[in-house]
Parts: sequence; structure tokens; C-alpha cells
Amino acid sequence: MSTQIERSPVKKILSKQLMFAYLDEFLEETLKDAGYGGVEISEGPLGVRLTIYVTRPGLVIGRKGMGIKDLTDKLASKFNLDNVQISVAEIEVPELNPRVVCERIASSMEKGTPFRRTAVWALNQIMNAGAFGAEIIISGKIRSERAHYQKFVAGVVPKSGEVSRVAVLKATKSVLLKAGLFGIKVKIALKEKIVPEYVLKEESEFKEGESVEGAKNEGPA
Amino acid sequence: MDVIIENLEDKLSRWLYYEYENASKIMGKNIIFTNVPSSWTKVLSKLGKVYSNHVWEIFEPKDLIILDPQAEDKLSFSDLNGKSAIVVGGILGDNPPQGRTKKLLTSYAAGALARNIGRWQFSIDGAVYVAKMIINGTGLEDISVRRRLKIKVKSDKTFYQHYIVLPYAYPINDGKPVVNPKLIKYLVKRSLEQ
Repeated sequence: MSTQIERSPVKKILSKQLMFAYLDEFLEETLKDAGYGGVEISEGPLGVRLTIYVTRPGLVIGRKGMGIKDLTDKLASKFNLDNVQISVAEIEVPELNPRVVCERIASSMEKGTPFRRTAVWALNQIMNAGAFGAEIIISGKIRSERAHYQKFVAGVVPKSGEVSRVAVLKATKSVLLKAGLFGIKVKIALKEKIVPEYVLKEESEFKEGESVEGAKNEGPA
Repeated sequence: MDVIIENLEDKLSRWLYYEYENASKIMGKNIIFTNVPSSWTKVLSKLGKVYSNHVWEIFEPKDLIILDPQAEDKLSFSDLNGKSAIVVGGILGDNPPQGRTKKLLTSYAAGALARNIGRWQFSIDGAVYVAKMIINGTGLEDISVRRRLKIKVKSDKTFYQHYIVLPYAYPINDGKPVVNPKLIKYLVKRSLEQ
């Protein structure tokens, strides 16, 4: 009788996805300076193939491909991957990659740039790159004594329906500053993925700085 | 019946003061501040009665109801029978909540009745408003609550909109959330100060 308990296919898939999530986290930390923007993982009969998207591929590849070789060895030992094939691709428009934007906002805040200036600058960059809409949320004890969040929105970011799933890219990051832990959330709606039937509604007028509006979840206590 | 705010903060920040001020406006003369450092006494005595001792040192805990989000049962009018005051934790909560009211208040006041006013984290003045409504006989289920306040700071339709979102629960009075307008102005001003 075999003592080995067979794992269910669901558990296998879950553990593999968890490993890929750790791998993504590891790459984000390792390739921070190269402007890491995500990884595409495909499994074949010959092994795992990784396509890493960065803003500066030269930094990942290294001199005579030494960088990529080091990375392959690290991944093979750390994640127990056999025959890893890595290819590095440059992100065509980094401003439309939420992970890159998140990282840029985080490093700008680490340097001490005021959060509002940083967010508006990032929004400007995203919109100038041709996005349909963008939303940046910075949360934490921002210039006050109690945790809350500040939201910056430009253009239109679809929130529900198929279009929000297909056209909106999201990324989150946390950054530890002297004032505490801050969270950064970036959403970018890509113009080319918005269906032509998508109709926009006009927004009502309001007075700046005075109007108070509630969120949707209203109900008894 | 009185509402007691047991101060649990070390620093009297503007945000805290504005919430205390609004709580005082809601309750009028029936508000008491306890565990107040001597340096704050002058400022807070304008808002209500001030004590430097903890609430459980001044009142019999069995006469008190503590509003604690982690309490199992909801507050109802019948809970007020034989009680002399409702205690609200004077704390600027975190998001997500850390359960400090239980740690710093409920656990010390053994014998007091702990009740919640919903599963969300209220502002101090919001909790005081709910307490007042219950004292007046309104059922908890009849009090409308708005989760998250969204304050428009700046809107440039050609470019961007800037909002402040307060991720706490605010009761509704006459269609408007119970919040000190001075707090809104202060937050907007602070956000634009750059």
C-alpha cells in the first residue's frame, strides 16, 4: 500500500499559483531598479518560460548576459524550477503600466516629495501617454492624525462590468516612511481596450472644497 | 442620561478636538470628558465637565454602558434601564480597526455593559450622536449610517479631481452626515497645503 497521499488537482493549481505570486514578489524586489512591470509565466514540456517586462532591460540582462544567468540560477534554486528560460522585454509605454507608476510614486515619496505633487505628476504622465482614465489612491496618516485616503482621478476609470475587468490595470504597493506606512493604489484604464459602445455620463457641478458626498453603502447601523 | 467620552489619545490634535467639539454640540450640558491630561483641561472645560481620572474610577462600572465595536450585542433602549451613562472611547481609530477600545477601555471597566452600535467604526461625534438617539428612544435600525465620507477637494474638469475619503461610519441627520464642518475645512486646507 502506498503511503503517499495524492494531492488534489485543485490544491496543485493553488500551490503553483502561490509559488508564481512569490516569484512575482521576488522579481519585483530584485528588479526594482530596472523598472519591473510584471512577468508572464508559461509552462511547457521543456520547462518554465518567463517573460519579464522592465523599463530598462539592459540592467536585467547585464554584461554578456551575466545578469540573466545569475537570475536564472537564483530562480532555479529559490523556487525549485527546472530549466527556466528567461526572456526580457521592454515596456513600450511605462506610463501605462500601473506597477511602474506605483514604484515611481513610492520612490518619489521616499525622497520626500509631497504626496499631492507626486500624485498629480503621475496622473499627468499617465494621461499624456494616452490613457482613457487613471486613479491614484494614497492611504495612511497623510498630513493628519487619523488614517484616511486621498484619491486623485483623471479621465474615466470604469468601475463595474466587463469593461472594468478587461480595460483597467491595477497595482498596489506599500511604502514605509517616517510618518508611517502608506499604501499606493494605481488604476489605469487603457483607451484601446475600451469598447466603442462605452457611453460616458456628464457629472454634476459642485462647489470646490465644501461639498460632502457619501459613499454608496448607506443603510441602518 | 449623560454621555462620557473617556479620552484615550495622548495628543490633543485638531482632528480630535473638532470631534470632541461636535460631540459637545450634540449633547449640550450632558457630556463629560474623563482621563483628560491637566494640560488639556482649560481647552476641554469649554466643551463639558472634565475629569483627569478614568471613567471607572469616578463611576461604578455597573452603572455604565460602554460602546465597543467588538461587543457582542447591539445597543437598545432597554439596555439603558438602571444605567447612568453611556461611555464612548475618545480615540481616533485606525483603518483597519485595531480593537483598541476593548484593550484600553472595556477590559479595565469590569462589570460595565459593553454594547456595539453596528459593525463599522464610527467617529467619536458620530458615536455620541447614535448614543443620543438611543437615549431619545430611536431604535438602532432606524438610524441611517453612511460608510465612508468622500470630500471633494479640487476639481479641474479638464484635468483631475481630488477627493479625501474618510473610511469611517457617519450617522445621517436630515440627509447630511454628522461631522464637524470645521474638520472638513481643516482636512481640505491640509491637503492643499503643498
